[in-house]
Amino acid sequence: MKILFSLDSSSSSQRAIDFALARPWAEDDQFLIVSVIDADRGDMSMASAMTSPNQTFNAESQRIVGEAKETLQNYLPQHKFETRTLSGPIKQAIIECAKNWSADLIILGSQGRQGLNRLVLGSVAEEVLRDAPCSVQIVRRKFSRREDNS
Amino acid sequence: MRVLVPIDGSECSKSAIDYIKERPWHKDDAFLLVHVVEPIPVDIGIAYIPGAYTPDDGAAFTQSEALLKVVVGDLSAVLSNTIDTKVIAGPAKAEIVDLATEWKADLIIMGSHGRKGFNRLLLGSVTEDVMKSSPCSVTIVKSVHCAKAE
Repeated sequence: MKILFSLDSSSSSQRAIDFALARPWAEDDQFLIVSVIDADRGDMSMASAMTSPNQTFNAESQRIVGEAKETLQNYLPQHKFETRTLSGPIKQAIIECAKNWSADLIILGSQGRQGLNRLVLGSVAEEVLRDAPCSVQIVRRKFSRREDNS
Repeated sequence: MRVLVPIDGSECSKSAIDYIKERPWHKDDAFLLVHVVEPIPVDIGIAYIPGAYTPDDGAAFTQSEALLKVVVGDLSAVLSNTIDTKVIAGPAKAEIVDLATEWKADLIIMGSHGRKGFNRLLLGSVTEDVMKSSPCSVTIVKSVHCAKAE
């Protein structure tokens, strides 16, 4: 099976990796780890983002996929991991990549960087799920706080 | 890991079962297959009446149990994991989400469309609702059977 990890620097992306680290994988599974370079993001240093945007965002995406690859490769030393940084609007970039690479499964965290706390599902996750050409795994934290709210 | 699998007997829920059969699992992963009997056709907009159906309501439940039994047989031919079944009555989304919470599910696996899915909708309504309010991770299995329809 061809498995596409879509990551950003949010904690939900970290959960997607943790999920992968807790699961067994088939011998012939192939992995592609991507991060979308998006100039519209709020988690970057303003100064560096303004002086050299492409370089800064690209470096950040490279760092994300690089670190994820290292972590996953340690867990699955026999498997092959490819990495890519994509550009463009996040949803379209992920969907295009999934189509071109013929992904069987997209794995992503449920709350991306733009998610407000009141939105249970991140908007990126929801949009990807709607248009995905393949199966989608949404990794979500346990909402142990739900009881408190209700 | 505790895996909840809503089954409605549609082609898409078969895809979810096929996905489970094809993927590797840990020995201690446990599955709970659930079929929700909706008391009143929600399609025509009549609200759910609590207590309208009870577990000894004959035909619908017998049918559901038979359906689940077939799926258990199908799965246990491939997996040696614990597989339990449950038939419940109520509105599908709420029952599935409640059960996921009560049973402390780590993952819900379901087809992208259910029995009531119109082909033009990219995602079934129950699937979409469950995904939005699920307390745990969700895998939405898209198959050629359900995706082809467009």
